[in-house]
Amino acid sequence: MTAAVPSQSSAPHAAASRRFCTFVVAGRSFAVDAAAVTEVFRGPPTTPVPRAPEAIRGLLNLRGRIVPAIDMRRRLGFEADQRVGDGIHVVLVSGGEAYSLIVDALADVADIPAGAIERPVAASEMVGRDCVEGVYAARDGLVHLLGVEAIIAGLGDTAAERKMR
Amino acid sequence: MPAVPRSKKPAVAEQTIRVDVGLLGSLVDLVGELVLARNQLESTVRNPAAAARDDHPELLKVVHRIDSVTASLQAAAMKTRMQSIEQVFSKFPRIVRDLAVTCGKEVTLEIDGADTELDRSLIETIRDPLTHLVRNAVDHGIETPGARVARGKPSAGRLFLRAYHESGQVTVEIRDDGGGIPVTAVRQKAVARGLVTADQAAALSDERVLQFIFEPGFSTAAKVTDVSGRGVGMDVVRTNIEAIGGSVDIASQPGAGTTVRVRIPLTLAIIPALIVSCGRQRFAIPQAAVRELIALRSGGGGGGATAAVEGLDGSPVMRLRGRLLPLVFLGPLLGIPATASPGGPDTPAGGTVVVLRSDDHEYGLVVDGVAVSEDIVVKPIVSALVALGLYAGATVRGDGAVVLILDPRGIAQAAHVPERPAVVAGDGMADAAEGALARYLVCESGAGRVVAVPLEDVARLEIFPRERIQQAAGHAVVHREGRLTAIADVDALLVGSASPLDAPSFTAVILAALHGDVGLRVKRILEVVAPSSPLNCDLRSGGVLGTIAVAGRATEVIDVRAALPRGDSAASRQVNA
Repeated sequence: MTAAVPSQSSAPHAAASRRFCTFVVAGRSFAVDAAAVTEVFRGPPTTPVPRAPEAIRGLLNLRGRIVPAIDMRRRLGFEADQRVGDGIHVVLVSGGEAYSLIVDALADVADIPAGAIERPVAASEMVGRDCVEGVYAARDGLVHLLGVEAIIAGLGDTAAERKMR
Repeated sequence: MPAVPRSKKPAVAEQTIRVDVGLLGSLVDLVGELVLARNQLESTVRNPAAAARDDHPELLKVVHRIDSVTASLQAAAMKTRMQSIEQVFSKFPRIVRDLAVTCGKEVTLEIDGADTELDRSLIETIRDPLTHLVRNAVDHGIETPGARVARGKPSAGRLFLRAYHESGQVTVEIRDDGGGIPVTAVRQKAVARGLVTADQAAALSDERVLQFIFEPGFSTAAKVTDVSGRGVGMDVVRTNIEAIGGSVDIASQPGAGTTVRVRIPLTLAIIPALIVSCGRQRFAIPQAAVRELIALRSGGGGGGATAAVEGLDGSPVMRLRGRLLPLVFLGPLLGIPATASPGGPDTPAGGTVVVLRSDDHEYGLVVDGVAVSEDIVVKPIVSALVALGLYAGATVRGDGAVVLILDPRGIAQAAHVPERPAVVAGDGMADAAEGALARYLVCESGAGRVVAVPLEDVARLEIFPRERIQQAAGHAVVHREGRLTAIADVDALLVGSASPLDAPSFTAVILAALHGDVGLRVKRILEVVAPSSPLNCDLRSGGVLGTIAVAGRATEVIDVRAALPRGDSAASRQVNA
């Protein structure tokens, strides 16, 4: 059930390229820094957290550690997940805390040359553009590179807005 | 860091070793996992289906042994992470002295409870906020010697620092006998800053008005000398403390001083908790906050222990022994849809009222059902969820399910439960009122005697399976919450011969802590009564305090102090050591 992210051959990758873990959400390609990703697995059910920000689908028991599972469809502003099933969990660590991103499908682990990463288009209408740090034109379409910290910081904002006082 | 001569414990060197903190952390984590596995093992063995399928007394014994060893291991492991708050307090005498000289003030610092222990991860978190509060008290709270003398106070101001454990939390109190906070000025400032209208400000209580001090930049903007300073950085103090799920309260009396109370919550720790259900979800409530459980029947009929909901200005309340208890319905509060059909024996129609009490609030939390009381490992949750103010953390149950731990205080605030009257006035009044009407727990002993126990002597009620009773030093004991609790049979106390324990489980009336770890074994609990006539002491004898009238019958009241054979409490002390 649990599969470590393929730590692809330790081929000497150029200092100018970064390794990304790419995945699919609502038919589009996204990627996060592969160094932050610790594991990927098909989801066990999560425990919902009442009154939590919409993007937090629930809490996950990861070998005794309690990890919030972020519904990437909601986080990126897409329609809620209509499919049956719990999605794929991409677990990553940021600032010492573990988070799980629930994505539709895992795509690839790719080395992307730093020079090929472009700044995101400012006019992008995507709600989740606050966490897009760059865009890379792959052979089969655009890949939006997401900042791990930005994904999580955005969660806090939502929490503050909905904070019950 | 200056070298501090170690005056205490000179021979400590050979008794201690240095251990990597990370290693201790992982030890505690592993013990936490072990506790969860133990819970799972217990529930598997206790499962009636498993018991019926295969009777394995040997396995039961092993499970009990694992249970007791785990409990001891757990206590020891938790201790390794605890550090006394002296680590923080020890810096304060110097800070206060230096600051007093700078400000031209005279300050005597008094410290109490420096040996209060808390998790080391918290020690670091509270260091800066506490330092800030202490500096504030010296800088802005205590007046100059001249001003003090003019007010008829001694020229040296006093600053009290007190740390203590209370209902599962650590509270740190910083109290000065200075000038207090000029509430009127704060009120005006709040209006000037547009936080409230003048009318609103006038209607707010002084306590409410003081809360404005925590508004970001509140008094940095206010350059009025008298007001300024007190609030500088108070928003940061509060943010830091709330980030770990704690809270900061401030109370002030003009001319008499200011008290700031910092409450530090449960953290990485193992605590007894009540597991309740609401809709399809389960939640844990720290047992420390739970006062009692009351069945709620929607129909209003039924037995004596049920209660009915009334409305008071649109807020639901319940009548509890002559007082009105505000009710909070957990489902609607959390937006959990009510389940159409009760999910099973856990969810009787109407639900259960969990009476919760914190320093500021007393209220009834209405849940669908109460599942079980068990030890849980408190695990932290991410700050985005702490910020909701509803959850103190989460835990993993024996079956691997994640369960959120409710924060009783946060829930009271979210549901706008009115605060209890100020602590000083409230406590005295409540005591006087309750003293006038003593209450008794009426129960039936194993041999069928109906006896009463003064409710003030009762800490809680627990049901134990018969096989949990063990023998230690010739006394019956059970292992609970990591301690041994002596179990005294009520019949043995009254007539000298214990009733046989033939039922599969028994109820123990756990006595208040001042009597030691002691529980009274009874067959069942009948009711709680508040007799109109006082205790009749004519029949006072060794184990009997007197009699009260219950439903027209004279009922013996057990004297828990005299009734417990000295040997029992000695035994419980001994096995605890």
